[in-house]
Amino acid sequence: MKRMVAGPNRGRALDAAALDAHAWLGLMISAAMYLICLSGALAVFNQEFERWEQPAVEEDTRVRPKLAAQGLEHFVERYGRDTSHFHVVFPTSGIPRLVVENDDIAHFVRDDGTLGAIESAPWTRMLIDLHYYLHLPKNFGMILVSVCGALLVALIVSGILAHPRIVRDAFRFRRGGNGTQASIDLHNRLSVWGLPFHLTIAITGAYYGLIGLLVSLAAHAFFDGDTEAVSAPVFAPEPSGYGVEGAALPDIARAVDHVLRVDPEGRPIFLTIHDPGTVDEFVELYVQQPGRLIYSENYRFSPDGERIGRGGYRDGAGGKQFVYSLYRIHFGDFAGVGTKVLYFILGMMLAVVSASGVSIWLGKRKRRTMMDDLWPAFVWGTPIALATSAIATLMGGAGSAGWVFWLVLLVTTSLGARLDAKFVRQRYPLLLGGCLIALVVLYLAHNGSAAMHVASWPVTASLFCFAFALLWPLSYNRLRRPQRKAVDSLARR
Amino acid sequence: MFNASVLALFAVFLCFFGLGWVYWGWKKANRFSSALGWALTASSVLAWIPAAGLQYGLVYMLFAPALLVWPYVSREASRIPSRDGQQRPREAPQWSVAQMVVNVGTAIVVALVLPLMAGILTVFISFQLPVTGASQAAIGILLLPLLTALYVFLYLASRRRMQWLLAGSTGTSLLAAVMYL
Repeated sequence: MKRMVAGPNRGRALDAAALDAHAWLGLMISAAMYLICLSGALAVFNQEFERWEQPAVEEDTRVRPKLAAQGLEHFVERYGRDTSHFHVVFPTSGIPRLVVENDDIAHFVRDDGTLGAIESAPWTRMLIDLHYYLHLPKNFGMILVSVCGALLVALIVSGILAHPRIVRDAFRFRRGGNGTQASIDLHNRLSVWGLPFHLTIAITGAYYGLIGLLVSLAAHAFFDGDTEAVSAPVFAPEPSGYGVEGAALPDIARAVDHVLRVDPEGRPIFLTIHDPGTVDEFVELYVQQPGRLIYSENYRFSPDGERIGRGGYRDGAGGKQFVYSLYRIHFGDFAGVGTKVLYFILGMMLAVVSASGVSIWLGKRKRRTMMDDLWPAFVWGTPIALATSAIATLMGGAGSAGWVFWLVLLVTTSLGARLDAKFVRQRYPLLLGGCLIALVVLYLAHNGSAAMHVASWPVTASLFCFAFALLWPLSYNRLRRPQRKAVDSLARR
Repeated sequence: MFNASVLALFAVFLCFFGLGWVYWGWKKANRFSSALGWALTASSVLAWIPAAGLQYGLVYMLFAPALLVWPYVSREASRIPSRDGQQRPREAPQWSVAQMVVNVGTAIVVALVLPLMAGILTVFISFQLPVTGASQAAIGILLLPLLTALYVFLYLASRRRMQWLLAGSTGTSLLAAVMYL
């Protein structure tokens, strides 16, 4: 391996060293990065998937404080008060459904205030967990995923330094050959033009798992181990002493009414009752601010509905606003479906960059090994595994979505060792198309008329269109082959 | 609403048009056209901001070129001769225990040691800056992945990784001693 050297060839040596570093790092995290990127691109639509998984639930976009209070009362009647938090999720949260929940279970609220179905979106949960933790134990998984975010920044830096023709090739795309040149050009064009998005996602993604490390280091260095002292300038500390031990449920209707009055432009997302029935009890209302990237402005109330104060995210220090904006910047959840589609496309581009990077490395080797067959099988096996896990969830295996995903991914990837890479690249997309058609058919059969609800048909139609696009080459080849044969025989005559 | 939609369309057009100038300048090797194109692309923010607000507008301005550049890339697409017949020879994968140990060791350094070293440097720098607590946090959040990336790149691109690691960890230990003792 060539590494940095001094002298006249230093520039070229730096390129080579950067390419080495880029390749090594890319190979090290490629599989995890691809899973994170693909699941992240899909998770942009997590709210849409949640609605899709339960299409028959009543929907309403109004925030009705009394209905929320009634729903909470019924919930407490059924499940008691033995919890650290109660949450009320409003229909303006992005999913037009009213939900009441504690730390363990969530129920939809019907129009008459009674409890409806239990909220259950196991496939969406599996997808989000894959993106957040790679299905590993939560703390470890989140740190690992965040380290991947930091390493993505390193990949971007080394990628730029390893690309001396970055300007000369800015618009170049060469197909043909053995396919490696097309992979290189696609990888480089997507990486260079998507650079602002990739950097944004990498830096904001690194935040979630590594902030704990920063807070801990800073707390032990400057605050005698007091982590709350480090986070207090950003996240307003929780108030104490407003509650009464064993008191009745707080007056949430009054709190919501107050917020609707003082912040008419804001959209209440959800409400949390912290430490119910203790002296530390208080009510916190999260209100999304239009035109702003901050997650929310938070209004705090005592249990009797008196306002305590605000979190101060809307007009606080720039640093505070920045930190509180990271969620929406990372997930693209700030300006409706259009922005989500933008994030989805850009996220899929990043997934393609991850996949093509390894393909390039494999394609440049003088000899082929099993890896050349396993990698495309893994790349195409992942969406197949996601589709199959959705099918399994529909067929009643709500708790098995994660297991089915990993099992199918293992099988499809292992099969790659038995099959040729070219065969995998041709047939696995068709298999994915078939799985998606099966998913759509099962979904329609399972949900009946509810499948035509506005909560579900956009997702179903998108899945069908994607399946159609994947299966199109099959029909195209079948239709064209006889014609081509006829033309060939005519030419021979 | 109508005005915002018209302005958003205009911003898309401005960005697309600007990228067209960048492409034209690239094609003709004319730096002036390219610079003009970049200026036009950046100026689309002036339409994005009234259309979507300052914060959303900045995000759209930064991300839109990644989508709008593809017509120009596809215009420049070319085909190189196919080399389907030239199959690379196949060989069984070769495993070397020594190489695996080196790779696992490097992975641990890259994923664990270097982020930790970058974390200590990040906290040190953030708390030396004359800014408030919230700004320290924001700077730290930005710095940590950037410093980690820098450390990882310097380590992986170095000819003498072990020496680099020793020097880095000595520096970090000194920094930690200053901070914690």
